[in-house]
Amino acid sequence: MKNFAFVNARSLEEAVGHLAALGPQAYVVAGATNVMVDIRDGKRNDKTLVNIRGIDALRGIRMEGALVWVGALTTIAEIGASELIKGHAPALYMAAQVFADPTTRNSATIGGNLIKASAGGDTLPPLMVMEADVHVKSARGERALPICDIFTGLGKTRVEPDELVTHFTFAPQPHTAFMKMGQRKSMAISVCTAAAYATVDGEGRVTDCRIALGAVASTPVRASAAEKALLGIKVDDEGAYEAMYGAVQGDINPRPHSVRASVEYRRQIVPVLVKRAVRRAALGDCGPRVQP
Amino acid sequence: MSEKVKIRLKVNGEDVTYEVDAHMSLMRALREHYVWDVKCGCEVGECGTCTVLLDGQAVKSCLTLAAACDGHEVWTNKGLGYRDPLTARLQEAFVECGSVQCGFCTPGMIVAGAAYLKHGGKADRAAIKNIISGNLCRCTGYVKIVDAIYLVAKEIEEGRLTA
Repeated sequence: MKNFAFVNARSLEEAVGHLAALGPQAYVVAGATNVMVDIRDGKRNDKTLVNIRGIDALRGIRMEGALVWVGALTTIAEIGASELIKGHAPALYMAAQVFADPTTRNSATIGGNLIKASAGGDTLPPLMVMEADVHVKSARGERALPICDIFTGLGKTRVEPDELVTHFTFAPQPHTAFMKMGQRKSMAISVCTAAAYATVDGEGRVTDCRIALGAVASTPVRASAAEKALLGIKVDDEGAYEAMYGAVQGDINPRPHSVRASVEYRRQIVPVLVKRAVRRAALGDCGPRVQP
Repeated sequence: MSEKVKIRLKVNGEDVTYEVDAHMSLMRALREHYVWDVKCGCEVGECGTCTVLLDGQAVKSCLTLAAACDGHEVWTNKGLGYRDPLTARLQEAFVECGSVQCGFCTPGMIVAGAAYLKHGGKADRAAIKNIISGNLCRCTGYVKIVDAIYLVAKEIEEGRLTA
């Protein structure tokens, strides 16, 4: 028997107050696209649903000084239609074009995608190569967590039960890109994804890069071995990627017996996505379609 | 047992008060109150037949928490067909183009298509395919559904209909 209570938080202060009072009993609902499925499947029960959908202060995309500010309640559709994101975080923009389907993107929020902490959350590798800060608030105060070490396991983050994700900040970086491999173009959970930040010198050699991968381990991961192997290579030299093809294998740990793809398939496809993402990132061009 | 929550919302232009379970989806809430043109398909957001307009945006009502809709406005295929000339024309176009076979996906397809046209969607087959990509149809092969939305988009572009 499903057993839920419901409270509506009309402001950030109210929401934080509810979380402080309820502790682990609280189950925050924003776009609800994951929450409804988990309730239906019986994965969660005996909770108090804390609705934050109406808190407009947590919505929006803007510059705050030198940083891009994205509210936790900003929908994926809003991110995918934002010129600011397109120019300052192409990887995130590209991810928003292939996230679920256009209708689901009208509800799904970026904060929800983070808290779900799925290995295949499509906005997570882009936020990782942007080295975004995740800002959370509780009755105890506010803090910022670097996204690259926020995930502690499948569905688990360092965000405490009484804390609410309020917004993300990151420095603008036009040299980023995102690649997704799914079984179909729409409503497909990723088989694997790759986000890249890459800058090149006048000869087209990689001077700096960051790689993050989705759906290849129990959490989204930074691919530090691949990053090292990519430094100094010429982005348009096909052969130069050989070292990365091997190095990236140490960065990933695909789940065996996955319904979406075998370990072998993921190990073959990941380096290809990394290569394509690096090339697109170096170009600083996100284009209209981003299927590999 | 879940707590009961009283919500006031506008459904197809009419002010209503529903008493819903705290965890209930908007789709279930609508169907319990006889809004049966909103179909229950997969109930996990995959099929799109429960698509409605929530404050003018197409959303999957099975993935929407009913209790969170207090004070909001919902339009469904049937309500739009009666009150909105654009959707009425799109419904006719579905008939003209043979876009309906078993009809189960139709309410969601029409709401998704109407939302596309209302937000300035063009007569562009690729864009139309993309916008209905979260709506499954196992009969038509989609071609005739895309035809119908394309036809109405063309009529808007030629000034024969206002979006």
